[in-house]
Amino acid sequence: MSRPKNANCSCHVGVDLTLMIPRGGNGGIKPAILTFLRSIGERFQEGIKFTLLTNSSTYQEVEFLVRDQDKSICIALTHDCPWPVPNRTQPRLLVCPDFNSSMLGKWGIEVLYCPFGPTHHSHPDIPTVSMITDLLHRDYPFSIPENERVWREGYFRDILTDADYVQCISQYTRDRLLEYYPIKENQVFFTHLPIDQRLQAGRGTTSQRPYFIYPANFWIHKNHEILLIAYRIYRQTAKEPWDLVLTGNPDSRSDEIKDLAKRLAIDASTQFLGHLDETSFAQVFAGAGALVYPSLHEGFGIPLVEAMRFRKPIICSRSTSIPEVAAEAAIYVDGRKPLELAAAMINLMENSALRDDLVMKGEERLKSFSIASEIDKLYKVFTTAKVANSRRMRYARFLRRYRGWGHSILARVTNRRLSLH
Amino acid sequence: MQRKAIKIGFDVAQTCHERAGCGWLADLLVKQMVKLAPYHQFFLYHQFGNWINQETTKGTHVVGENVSEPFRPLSPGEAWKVWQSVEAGLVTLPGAPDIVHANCFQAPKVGPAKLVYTVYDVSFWVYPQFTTEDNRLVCQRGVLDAIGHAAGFIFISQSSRDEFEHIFPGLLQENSIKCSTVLLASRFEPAAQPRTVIPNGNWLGVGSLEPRKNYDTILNAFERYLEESTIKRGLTIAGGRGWKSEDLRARISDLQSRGLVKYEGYVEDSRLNELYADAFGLVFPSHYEGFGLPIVEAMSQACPVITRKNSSLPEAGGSAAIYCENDEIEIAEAMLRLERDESYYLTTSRASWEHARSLSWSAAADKVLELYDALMVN
Repeated sequence: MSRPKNANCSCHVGVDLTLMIPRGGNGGIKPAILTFLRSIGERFQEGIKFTLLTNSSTYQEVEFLVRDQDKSICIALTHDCPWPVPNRTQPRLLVCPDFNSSMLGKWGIEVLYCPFGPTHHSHPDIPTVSMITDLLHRDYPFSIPENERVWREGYFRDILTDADYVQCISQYTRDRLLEYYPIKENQVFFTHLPIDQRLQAGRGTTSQRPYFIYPANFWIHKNHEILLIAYRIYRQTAKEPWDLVLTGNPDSRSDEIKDLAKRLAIDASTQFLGHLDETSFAQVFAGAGALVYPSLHEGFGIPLVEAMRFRKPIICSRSTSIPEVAAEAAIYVDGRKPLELAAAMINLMENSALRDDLVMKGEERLKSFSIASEIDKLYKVFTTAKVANSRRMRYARFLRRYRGWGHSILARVTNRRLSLH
Repeated sequence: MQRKAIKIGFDVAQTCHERAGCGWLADLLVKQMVKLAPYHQFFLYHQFGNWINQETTKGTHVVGENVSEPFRPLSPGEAWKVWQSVEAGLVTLPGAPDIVHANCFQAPKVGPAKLVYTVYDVSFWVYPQFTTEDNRLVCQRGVLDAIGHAAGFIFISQSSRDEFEHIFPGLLQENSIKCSTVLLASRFEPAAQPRTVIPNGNWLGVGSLEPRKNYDTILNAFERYLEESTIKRGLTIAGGRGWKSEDLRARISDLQSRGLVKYEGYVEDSRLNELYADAFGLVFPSHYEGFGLPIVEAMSQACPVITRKNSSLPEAGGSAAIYCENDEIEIAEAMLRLERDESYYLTTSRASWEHARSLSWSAAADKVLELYDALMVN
């Protein structure tokens, strides 16, 4: 990777990682964020300095990101994990139980980056860049519980108040954000997430029979129900059907889907592997015959680029950001129609020429993605935000927040009065 | 043969609202069954699974020694608690039923009772574009739950059953789910006789304003008919505002302002009965129906019906309906022929009337009772 021109322009970025969840709870966005941070550090070297703001349950997971000039500061207690104990072997790990946002300035942080979206740690003096992965709560509100919808609505409002720039993960997400919320076009940019290279694309165990793989947490919009119904039809039609392998964080929904597999009598050929670490995940992906991706809603769709990297043909639904990512390199179906999905699975399994063609198109498609150019976009936003942070900007940010506080104080007072009556 | 007495918990939750087809099915079916099977005990559940009504006064009410309505006195909160406890296996349902029959897309756990589940259709898996996303998720959830919990399925048409078997090949046998196909009948007392003179009435369109009902084709055919007809009958439309209907409503109100269309919105059933009785003919080119009740109901009033040959429509229309493709020219021609050819009109009216009389709620109720009996055998 060639060194970018502006690498000398140093920028001290605080990264709010306090919303990170252990293991697979965040879904695909977590490996994406970690890969981005690692790559940006490698690419810009001393051109960027990180202070990672972490929580007590995941600070260890980001240790590998901390270079000589960086620090990792644990500022939040989560999941009942105790505060880490700093020691001499980890000189760059600090603990700050009584963190408040005025410390950002004291630590010399010039830009606050919030890749998990909402933040409680922004400060009017520091420009903030937040990432938004999707607008599920507006696009597909029935797929999440009402309280989560309300929560998401609230944090979107906060992001609009706090953030100077919003990073989206596809053109599609960017367009939706601009459609739904009053935010200026020049505040919103998008970076794709071609993070496939983090997985070592070795050869899968070729002695095994191929299988369909669907890596996805068991969220409603991921549409596992239709996949299982379609898979049952496929099994009853195909001569030597492939198995189905599902990876994803185990939770109560995954239990429901397991139970459904049992009721549909496909449990013997459907494997639930849970959340896998990168090495095992890469192995499982490498052994697959094809990616089947019936998700009804995506902000980007990381498994699509991973399938291209592992040279796997793709069946996916024609919805949201998926066509933007997979382009010509996939068979598209209406993900709500089990018969259509089953037909595509049969067609793909029985037609090796079709598979070869899709693999070839996938390789071509993958060439149009480059993590370096995505990272350059993000880095440029960091430096722009830093340079543009004038007194006027600070004052505007202060007003935005102050107005917000004014409203909330007023609301609190009114509520108290109401409850007194 | 003396039938064994069965305790039946019957879901009438959907009858507590502005009733769509599903609410009516529950209402009419249980009223007939109570009459036909005085030796069974019926418990009408006005609250069912997650379907909790704030108000149950409009719900089905049946008086009889073998009927009770255990959820009526309970508040919505109390009813919800009862269902939560039943699902958790802590209590049995009121009346300790042998069979629980679900009609409102819910397939809750019902303790030791055997669950019978009414499948209206599985169109949301075949034509998802004809449903809203929230509705699709609810229907999908209900049928998938039923595959785990139900011992018996009621289909309201052979086409719905065929479609189910197409999506779940062999599943009913594998899970030894017993099935019955129960065709619906008209809610209205049939006309005393078929029509003997050509009526003056309007054309009629029935169904809420949503994409599936294909009002665009109705209006296109109607406009084409107006160009050719010398009599130029109007078009009356009865149906709620539905969804995705903004353009359609604008078009209707335009035609209404020109005095060509009369839009009545959602109508009570007594008014609907009048509309069928007065209409010159029903135009019903729906894209998909689980059964197509308007066809049978129009026919019960000896009203000729122009429809299509998809989904269950031919089952509802039998040999009496006039079938067209989804083609406004063909439909307009069928309209004009009915208008111009008196003997054709009268023959069609008679055939329609006779077809509707061949379908009855007591026959439907009988088939459901047979399924209950079969479930109690083992």
